[in-house]
Amino acid sequence: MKKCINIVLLFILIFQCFFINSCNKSVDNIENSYIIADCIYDIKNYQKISHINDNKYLLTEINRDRNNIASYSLSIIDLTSGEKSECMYNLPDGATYKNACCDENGNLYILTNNSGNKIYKYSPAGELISEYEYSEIASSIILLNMYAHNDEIILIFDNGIKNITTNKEILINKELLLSCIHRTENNFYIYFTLVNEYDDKPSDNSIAKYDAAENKFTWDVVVPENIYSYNICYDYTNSLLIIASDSNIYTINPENGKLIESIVNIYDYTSTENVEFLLSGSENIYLLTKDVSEETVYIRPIRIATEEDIAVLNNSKQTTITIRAFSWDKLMTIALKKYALDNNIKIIFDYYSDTETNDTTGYVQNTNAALLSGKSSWDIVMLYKLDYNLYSSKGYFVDLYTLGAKELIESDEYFVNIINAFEKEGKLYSFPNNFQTSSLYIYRDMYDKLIKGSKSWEEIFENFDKYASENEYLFSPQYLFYMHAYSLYNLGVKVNNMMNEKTSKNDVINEITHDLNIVNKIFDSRYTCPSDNSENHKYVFEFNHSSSISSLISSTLDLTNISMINLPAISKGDSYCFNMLNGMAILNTSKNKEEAYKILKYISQNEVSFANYTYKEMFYKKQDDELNEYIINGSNKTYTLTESQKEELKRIHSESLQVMENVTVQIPAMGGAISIIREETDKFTEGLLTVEETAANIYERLWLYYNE
Amino acid sequence: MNKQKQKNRNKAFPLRGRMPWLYIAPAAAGFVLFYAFPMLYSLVYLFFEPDGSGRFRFVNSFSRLFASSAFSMAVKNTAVIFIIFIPAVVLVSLSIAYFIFIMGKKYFRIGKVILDTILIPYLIPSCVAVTFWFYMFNSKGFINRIINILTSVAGLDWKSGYSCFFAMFLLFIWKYSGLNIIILTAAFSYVPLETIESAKIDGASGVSLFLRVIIPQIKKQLFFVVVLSVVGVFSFSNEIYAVFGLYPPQVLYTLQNYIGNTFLKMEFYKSVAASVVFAVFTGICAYLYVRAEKRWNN
Repeated sequence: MKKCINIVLLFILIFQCFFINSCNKSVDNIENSYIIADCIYDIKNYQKISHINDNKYLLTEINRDRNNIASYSLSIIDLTSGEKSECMYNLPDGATYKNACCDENGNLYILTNNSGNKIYKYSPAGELISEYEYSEIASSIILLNMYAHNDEIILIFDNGIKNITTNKEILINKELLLSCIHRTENNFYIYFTLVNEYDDKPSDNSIAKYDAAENKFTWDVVVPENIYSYNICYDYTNSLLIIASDSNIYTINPENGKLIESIVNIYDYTSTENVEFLLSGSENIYLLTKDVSEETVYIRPIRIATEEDIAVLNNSKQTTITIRAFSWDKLMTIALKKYALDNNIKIIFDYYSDTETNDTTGYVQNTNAALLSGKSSWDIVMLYKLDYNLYSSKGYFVDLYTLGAKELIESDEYFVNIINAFEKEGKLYSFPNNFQTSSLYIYRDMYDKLIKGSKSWEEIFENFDKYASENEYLFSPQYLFYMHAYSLYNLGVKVNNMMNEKTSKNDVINEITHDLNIVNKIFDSRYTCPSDNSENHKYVFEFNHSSSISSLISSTLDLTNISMINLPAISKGDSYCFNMLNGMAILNTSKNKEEAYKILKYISQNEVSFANYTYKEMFYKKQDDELNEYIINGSNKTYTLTESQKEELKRIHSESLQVMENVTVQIPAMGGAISIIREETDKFTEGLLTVEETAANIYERLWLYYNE
Repeated sequence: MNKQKQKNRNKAFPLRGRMPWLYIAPAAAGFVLFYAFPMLYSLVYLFFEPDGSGRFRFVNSFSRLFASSAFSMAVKNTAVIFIIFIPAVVLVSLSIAYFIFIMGKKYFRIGKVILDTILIPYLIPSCVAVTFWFYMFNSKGFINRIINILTSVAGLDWKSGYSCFFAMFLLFIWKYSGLNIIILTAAFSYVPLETIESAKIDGASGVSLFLRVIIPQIKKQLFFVVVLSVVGVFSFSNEIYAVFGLYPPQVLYTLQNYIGNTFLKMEFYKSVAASVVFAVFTGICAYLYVRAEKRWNN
């Protein structure tokens, strides 16, 4: 007994030692660490920032008019004083700014891409001194950086040939990622990170120093995998700094490349991928981060924490909200970090996977196990791949109407049908966070001639067979993939409903058989335009994925012949929206339900959901804009539209809104049922099973699913 | 004096006499931590709602379980698989082992080759076994080709209906008979030849010699083979999952499928209740087995 007590005491002692050590360590870290101070610049329409000298940076902003024609404005910002002054350098007409840098005498070099690539040299007084041709740079190349060492040497760092070149010769022929330069009186050094190295030195994922006078690498250091560096900067204390993939800023000894310490963690301020620069000033370093749109940047000084800062840090009792999601989401991360900073709360993201993975089963199991134990610390759950009906019916989610969602939804901004899809017995357990619907662009002349008035696919095929000539088809060559997915989705939703309603076996099998026969017809080559799309070929339907008007414009500017319709039902009944309706819900176990609800409201704002163009075409709230510039700009191309084209676009846009409003939204039945249907229909598509066998297999397996 | 000696010895070797417990301790700790405790802890889900509301649901769990037609089907299928698969694999193993035993005297090399290769199916991982299954039974597989040559019937579907039950039955026999054969062959080789010779002199024929003389002498090993086959049936759900996924054709839907699927669907009370039923059933079988073994040994 005595021995046992001794052993227990020994364990307690060891545990205490660890605990006390870790506490001390934590305190030490706060005392020695830097802090990221409040934002000093909030720059809209950001395009580029280039170091001039000391604390001065040349800022380029981009402005677009309604026709999406861009113009650039230059200004100089002083990070110490916080002043922003108009730039005295006037670029020649038509010159488009690309990059700028200053030499040691204060002369400014501006690289432009008008009629080839030219570098304009300005004196400190703003006079144009000379210009250089730089024909090596192809128009497709993005210049990442430019450094002027002296009149003779201008270093250009691009992503095309991925090397550093001077205006005379290739200096470093390596695949570089990022670089910075440190000038001394007689020499300059380039520090850069490398990836995918071809020759023996320097090696992969390393940071290297190039000595220009010696024309050789002084050192290269392989950084550990977990601190893969995103950005590199030579700061005012003559240290080298890197922003690493673990969200820490590390100092590096420039003499030997050895890591010294981590000075500050930037996780709460930005997603690491969106750190554009570490800016080096004469007395400070600055963190430049981008917001969701990537067109607004924030500049924050990083300074040594004072005692006051530490006291504030120690006394702050921030509300913490934990969000559970399947994988890292750029939009969500950046938007919510901004929200957290603005509202002084702490948001923790609990992603199942940091990388892209398809292990959705593991995610569901993992989430289920945590919910089951009742010990999950999550406040908000993103519903991607989680079964909304299952979780809400088991009482895991909070009814959002009790938190005031009714008033928000009644503001007429939301599509009623989407909200209805989430409503269960007068309760709302989730807000939509993205929604894609499907619709069809039709070529009106072909539609009117061949299938006008057809209300189902059967009628469409019948009329087509009657009226179409040889070079006329129903579907565009790109259509098949979407049509396949759409038809299976529709089938899945329908069978799901039938099984829930306990429809008889024969009826279910007949319905599946019928739908699969229609799908079979869709794959018939008579109905799909050949991919060698000669001008003689005409077709009726152009599948439109999530109402992307941009794709429409990029394919044709003859908009008068285009209309938008809902997908016809595969057979009788409704046509369901195809694709995903994702939501977000608050867990019943959350200790900060009110705060979590505010976050849901924030995420559902148009400003957030529309900010990143990747997501622009997914919308679930009505857009007041007659025509959103983002949509036109979605494919990153600029189109100059005539007035009549704009009118036509407005019409198409309103038609797409009508489609959105009238589509029957159904929350996809996740997991088992849909995957069973997919597996069996895949076999059918591959020709391994007949229609009848597929229908029987689907029913047999679904019966198990619904009777467990 | 002896007591004093014993005391002195115990002082010199304090762990003397406790060594077996020490040897078994790591395994026992692992068993308690990773099997016994989670099993017992899962019983909590029978009594309360998992959402933290604290509602009582013990009776509800079992009544819902027994009302589930998929559960009834799973129980029925599991029973059918037990009744068909276990005797079949034991009989096949026994026959082949006896064949090797008899032939081994004359054709030693053939017996050795069989013994050398027969364990391979048991040793290979499930995914390899399943790949083999696909090779044999897919629409253009080996079996379908043979059938096509013999009967000109093309593309039989071995993945649905009762044909898939038969195909999986063959896979089970192929995979799990190997180890049984090795054990039984070894058992046969230890049967004293004198007993066989004397039985022959007393007029015992082939069948009666086998049933009345040889089998009683290998009954312990035979029981062990039965246990191994039961374990094989339990673990055979791996192969069923690998071939058919979560929802196999109805004839192959077993209790393991039911428990796994209800867990994935967050119907925890059902999966726990089904596990309890399964554990009770297995416990009864084990008890009957032990009693039967005792009786036969006596």
